[in-house]
Amino acid sequence: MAAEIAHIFMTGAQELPPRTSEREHADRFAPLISRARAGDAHAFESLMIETEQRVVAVAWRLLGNREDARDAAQETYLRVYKYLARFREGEDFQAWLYRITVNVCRDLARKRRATGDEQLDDAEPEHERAAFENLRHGDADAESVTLRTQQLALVRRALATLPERERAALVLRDLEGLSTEEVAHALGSRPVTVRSQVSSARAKIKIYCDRLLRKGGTA
Amino acid sequence: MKRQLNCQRACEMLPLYVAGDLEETRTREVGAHLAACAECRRLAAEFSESRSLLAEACATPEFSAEFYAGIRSAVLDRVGRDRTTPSTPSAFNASPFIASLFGRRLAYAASFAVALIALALALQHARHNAQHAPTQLAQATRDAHAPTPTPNQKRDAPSSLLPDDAAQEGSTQESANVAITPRKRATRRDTATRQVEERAMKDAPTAASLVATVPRATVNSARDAGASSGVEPARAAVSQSAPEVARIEIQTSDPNIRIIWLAPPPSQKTGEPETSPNNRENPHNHENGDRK
Repeated sequence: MAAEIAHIFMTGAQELPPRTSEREHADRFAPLISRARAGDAHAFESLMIETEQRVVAVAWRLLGNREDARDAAQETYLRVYKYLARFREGEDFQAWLYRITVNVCRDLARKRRATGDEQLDDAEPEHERAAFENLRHGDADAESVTLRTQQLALVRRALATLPERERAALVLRDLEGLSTEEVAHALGSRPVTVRSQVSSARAKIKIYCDRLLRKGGTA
Repeated sequence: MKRQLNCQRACEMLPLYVAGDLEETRTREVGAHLAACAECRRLAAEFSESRSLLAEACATPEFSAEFYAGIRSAVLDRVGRDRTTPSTPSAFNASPFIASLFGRRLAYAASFAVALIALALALQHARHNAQHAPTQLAQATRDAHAPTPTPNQKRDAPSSLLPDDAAQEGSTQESANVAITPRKRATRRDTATRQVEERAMKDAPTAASLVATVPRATVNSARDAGASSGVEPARAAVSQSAPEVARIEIQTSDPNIRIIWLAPPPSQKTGEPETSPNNRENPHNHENGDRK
């Protein structure tokens, strides 16, 4: 009985992308890294192609809009280029890349806040399009589509209000599917710290969602 | 079934439990509690629901191939510009060996090492100068022309302080006497300095020998100008405190020790120097001694 309950609660989340092992990552990127460090521009471009989707996804989730995600991705790869000579062979390139991405996003977010140039959330149009596609196919009514779209926007806003470290830990753990150890490695902290940050972030999101859902969709 | 955890403790672990972040033992305990507690089961369901909502809200939108291509081209353009700038090091310009050779940490370490070496050389140079300062002082006193006086001469020959012709007589011996002490103890800077000071205190001619450190032209000009017009001070070692008084300052190798000697002009017959050279730290502390 307990095992069944655990199974129900723990698999209710989204389908996470399959995570390859750290060893496989290291093997996959090692040749490209070696050639890129030796001066092969094509190898560096291949490295970008292999990793850009992840980098853009993380940047978009941390920053909330396309423009900032694009700027953050560019800056991330420029830093990768600059510090590639310092990357130790055998180290987890993906974790190293995540760390750079998180740091770039943090710097960019601070810069935007300092200049008052924060971009608006541009995910809503995307979700509206998807929601209205469902509506067109008869999967939902207009009111529920609109309500759902608003709720999702509010959840993203809740994510944006989290402290930087909690937000980064939550994005990497729950949205990117990294293990606690991988998140700790990417953020340069310890697993126990990551667990504490993730637990706190989830509790806050849950409280926000409770108000959202129990009060009819408004926060 | 006996509950292992109370509701409060179980609820604290729910955020980690629903994502499988608890260790195995704790997972079993929470699961056992949920099996028996409907309220905690409801909370666990809410946690799962919020995680699903978050995942749905943060599902990444579709980015076009042009979007990614734009990022790559911007980066490669910037990288290409950096490569054409000779002063900008990059992973592409340097081989791994050179890149590691000029890594930032190595550059910092090299800079620190250079600074240490420079400091060591400066200290060694300063120590070398300090060791040779008494020798130089002794050499200067040997070059003096003041004679080695008899006891009577010591009392009556203050004029030898200024005029170099009077100082020439017998100066060798006195200078030698003065010089010997610093030379003997040339390797001990403070002692040598002290010796010179003691002699300057005891003997007027000894003080006169110190005049040898004053450039001869300055001494001559002091004599020629007379008491009223003052003496052109030598920049190195002489300052003129009053027209009537010759003032000689000698800075020893020890920056805290300076010998200041004041003497009346040659026309005055005094038995003793105006002041003792004990006025070390106060170059302006002088007395107008007997003018007659």
